[in-house]
Amino acid sequence: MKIEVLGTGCKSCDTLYQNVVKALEYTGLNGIAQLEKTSDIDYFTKMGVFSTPGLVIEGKLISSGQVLAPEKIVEVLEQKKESGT
Amino acid sequence: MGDVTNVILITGFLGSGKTTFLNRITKTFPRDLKLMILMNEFGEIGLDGTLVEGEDLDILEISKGSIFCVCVKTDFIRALNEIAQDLKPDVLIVESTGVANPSDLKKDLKLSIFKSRFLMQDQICIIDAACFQDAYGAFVSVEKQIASSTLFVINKVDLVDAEVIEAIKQIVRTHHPSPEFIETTFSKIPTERFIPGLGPLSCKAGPGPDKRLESPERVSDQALETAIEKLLENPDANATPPDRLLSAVYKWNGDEIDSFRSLVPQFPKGLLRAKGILLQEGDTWLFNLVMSQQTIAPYFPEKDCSLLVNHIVFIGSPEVIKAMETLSIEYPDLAQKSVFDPMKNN
Repeated sequence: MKIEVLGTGCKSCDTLYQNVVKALEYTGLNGIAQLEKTSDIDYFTKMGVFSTPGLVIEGKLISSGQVLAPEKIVEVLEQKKESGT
Repeated sequence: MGDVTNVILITGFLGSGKTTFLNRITKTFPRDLKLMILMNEFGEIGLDGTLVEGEDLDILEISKGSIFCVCVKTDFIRALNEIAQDLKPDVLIVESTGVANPSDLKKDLKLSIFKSRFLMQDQICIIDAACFQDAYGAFVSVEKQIASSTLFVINKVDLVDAEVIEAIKQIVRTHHPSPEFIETTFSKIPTERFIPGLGPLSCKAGPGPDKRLESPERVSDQALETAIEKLLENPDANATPPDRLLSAVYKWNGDEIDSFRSLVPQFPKGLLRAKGILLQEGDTWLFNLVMSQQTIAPYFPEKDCSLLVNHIVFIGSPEVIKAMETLSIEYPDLAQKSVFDPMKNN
């Protein structure tokens, strides 16, 4: 599973990244999922992220302009696990 | 000091006359009332803040971080909190261009942590009559500014004919059924409208600074952070990408205005805005360029601007800013100091 945190390197982006790390630990996906940060503005636009931070899982935009709480990210990851994507 | 702060949002595309408008208000604002300006600088050096004149004027500049990032919004909320709790002006003018989606600002002012301190008044859009039609359609920010405003100041009407003014009004009417227009030149508008007691603005007597400091209802840092966290979990939709513009600062190393004047036609086509204070034998000049129009006129600064002298800010697309770099290689008197990309954390 590929997870991308889209951001320009600010505090909100770092917080979202850390929240994803916590969610991966909780779900036992750390070490399995591939977590990346990206600051490529062209990629933001391509993914429809017009406000950062953005969260993309398996190429699908999950959130934009939000710092999702770890609990919320866990929910999304559990759904992904259940659907097998 | 009253117990409410009247808020005026002011927006407008690059070079429309916002700084001139702010100067008109600051010069006529009564000394027994408190005026604050919250502004967002597009670029690395705070030239606009310097060009706004007024003794003891409070200007708060907010984040120069990426306009893409929600941090710009959170910095704005923190600044508003400081204004609501400590500074408590009678009138707050928010120069909202590039701060955030202007339509979000009204909601932000109503956050419970501000305890009804802010009273939203006018949302003003300054329109450059000569350049508006070129900018509208080319830059999404122009449309957003029109959509979020209620009072439209059509500025520089001396540069266009009546048909152009009517065409501008028609565009504005596509966003608003009955907009209010003021047609003017040099951003001259009746400033009493923005002075509590003279116009429609509220002028309630407040508790005074001593009582304010003793207030048990002061918002805690924790409450502020909680409110910000909540905002970040529930953002306002932002469905359009911001305009891709960069700014660059150049140092002019020449010493004759005429040689600078002869350089101006070499500036790349598509340059949207350029502004700078130039020095020649102790005299200061203000260089002002808005799209195809430019002036170099004597300038008498009210504030110390020695650090900014001969620094010129250029704003344009990445291609235009690149073309400026190429030009500066040919003209050694023009030296690049920095390039600012508002979409990145610079």
